[in-house]
Amino acid sequence: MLALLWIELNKIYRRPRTYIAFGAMAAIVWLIQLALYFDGQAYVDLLLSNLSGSFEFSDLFKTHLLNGYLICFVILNTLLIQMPLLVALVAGDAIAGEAAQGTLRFQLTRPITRAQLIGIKFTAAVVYVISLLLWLAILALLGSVLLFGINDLVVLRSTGIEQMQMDDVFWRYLAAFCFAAVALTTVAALSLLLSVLADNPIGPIISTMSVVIVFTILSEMNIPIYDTTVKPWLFTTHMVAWKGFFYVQADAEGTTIRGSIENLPAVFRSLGILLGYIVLFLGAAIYIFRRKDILT
Amino acid sequence: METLVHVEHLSKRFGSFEAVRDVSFAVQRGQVYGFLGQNGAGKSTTLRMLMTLIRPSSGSIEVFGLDLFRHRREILRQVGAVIEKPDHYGYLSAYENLRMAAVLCGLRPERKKLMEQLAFVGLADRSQSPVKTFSQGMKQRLGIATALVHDPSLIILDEPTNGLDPLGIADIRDLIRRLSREQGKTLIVSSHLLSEIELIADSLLILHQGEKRMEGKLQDLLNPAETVAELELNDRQLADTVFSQTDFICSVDWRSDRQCCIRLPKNRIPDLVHRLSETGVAIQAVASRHSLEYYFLQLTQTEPHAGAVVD
Repeated sequence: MLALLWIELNKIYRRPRTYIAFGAMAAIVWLIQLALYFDGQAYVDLLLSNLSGSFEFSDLFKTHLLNGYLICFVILNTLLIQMPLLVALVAGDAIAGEAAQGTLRFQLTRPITRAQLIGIKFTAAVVYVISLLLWLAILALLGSVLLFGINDLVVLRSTGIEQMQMDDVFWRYLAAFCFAAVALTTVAALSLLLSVLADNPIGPIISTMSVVIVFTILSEMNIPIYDTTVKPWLFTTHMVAWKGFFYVQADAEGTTIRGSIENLPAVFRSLGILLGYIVLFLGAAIYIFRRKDILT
Repeated sequence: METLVHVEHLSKRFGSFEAVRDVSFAVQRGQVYGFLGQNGAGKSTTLRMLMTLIRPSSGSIEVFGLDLFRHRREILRQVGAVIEKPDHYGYLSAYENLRMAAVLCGLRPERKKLMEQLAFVGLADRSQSPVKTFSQGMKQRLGIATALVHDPSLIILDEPTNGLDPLGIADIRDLIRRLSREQGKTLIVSSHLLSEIELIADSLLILHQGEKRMEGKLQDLLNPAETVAELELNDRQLADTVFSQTDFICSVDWRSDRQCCIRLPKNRIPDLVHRLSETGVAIQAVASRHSLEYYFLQLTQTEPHAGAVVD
């Protein structure tokens, strides 16, 4: 199995187009970092302007606010919405791309089962997701920390602000990246399922993005009837639950508690739902693929 | 002789279209078994079912005495195939593609062994070139190398000479002969080219519109002492009288009121021409026709013949 996985990874990472995703991510991160490096204070003022009625901020606070941790948070907020497209480019191509190329026959006339092949493709997609996130971590977290230094992280919420001490932040990022890996793996599993249904990679890639866009819109809409009936079951609602690691508990005096998470059960619930979706998508992909006639 | 492949009442439907209908055949160990049929006859669909790419709608397939779909992995370990056209990863080299095929077969390939395989198909000097730079013939040969990489005892080649120039066709033909004669492999080779099948196959299955039209040994089918003469005559009635009185004629097949095909011993064509001339039948043209082609057309012609076959 490891040898087969190695082959699959070799195929993914030997293709020049795989690196388009890495290049696009680098471009976005560097543009954000560049803008904040030269005009960061204006960005901070804009952020705080919404809260200025109820809070007063010292100049020192404002100076410390703009640090590597905050910039990484801003980048994650921006990029984790776009990353499903990058994942779909590889996972959507996994079966349909091989079918279009004719190489699916090459694989399926060998003594490996179809379920095994799906398993290998899925594992390779997970490795790709992890490599994308590692790249993002290097660019957004390490890069921003090196460029802007570290300080306490302040996260703005509609209900107020969350402040975390600088030595209480790094583990939260680790947890957030791990959660993002599960969230993006859900997209990879969906894309793989759609890839099994098609003989051309364009269809599954576009379909994945369409599903993600439609579900995200539904997740964001403020229609009461959807809040309890639809939203809790959409995987896109739970893909952003990584933010939960940056919402902290406060004691009676309003001081944030180190190492705390405001609603850990909600984060775990989201994780469970995403894992459920992965099992569902993957199971459906195996079920369909085992019965599919290979005509290409 | 050991039966390697045993197919019984195989059918495949795609919606309302029946691509293969009630086909049965058996392939013996060591044979080169030819699948002959026009485009769309059901050859590729049948071969895809033999490689488990397509599930049959009904019927059974046994390979090495085992049910194909129950013992798929076990069977495919001993089967190598190139279905329709050999498709490889263009950005990888020939060596990498071959190595990938070996790993997919569960092998831990040694470089030396893979290079020997490439040398066998004449690609040793291009082992490191990306496959996208290969000609169709080279891709075909690499396809055969990937089919052979795990030393299978049964090899299935679907239209292996498609898209090749005459030199490439001769290369592949030579390769198939070497596999059969030198290595004792069993091969199933499909083609729509009569001459190719005649040159390489021991036994033959003719498919037409999804149905089996004939199965048998080529030597039984093609009597080397017989030929088919295609004649253009001016008087069908008179000619028929001559034919009915001529004892060495095996069969007469009228294609039109003026054209007929006569199966007869090779050395009796002058006698026939002489008899026809003597009776006053004017012979406007005489041509010796390829016997397999004649046989194939007889079996696969959908339009009713202009005349009945007389035996």
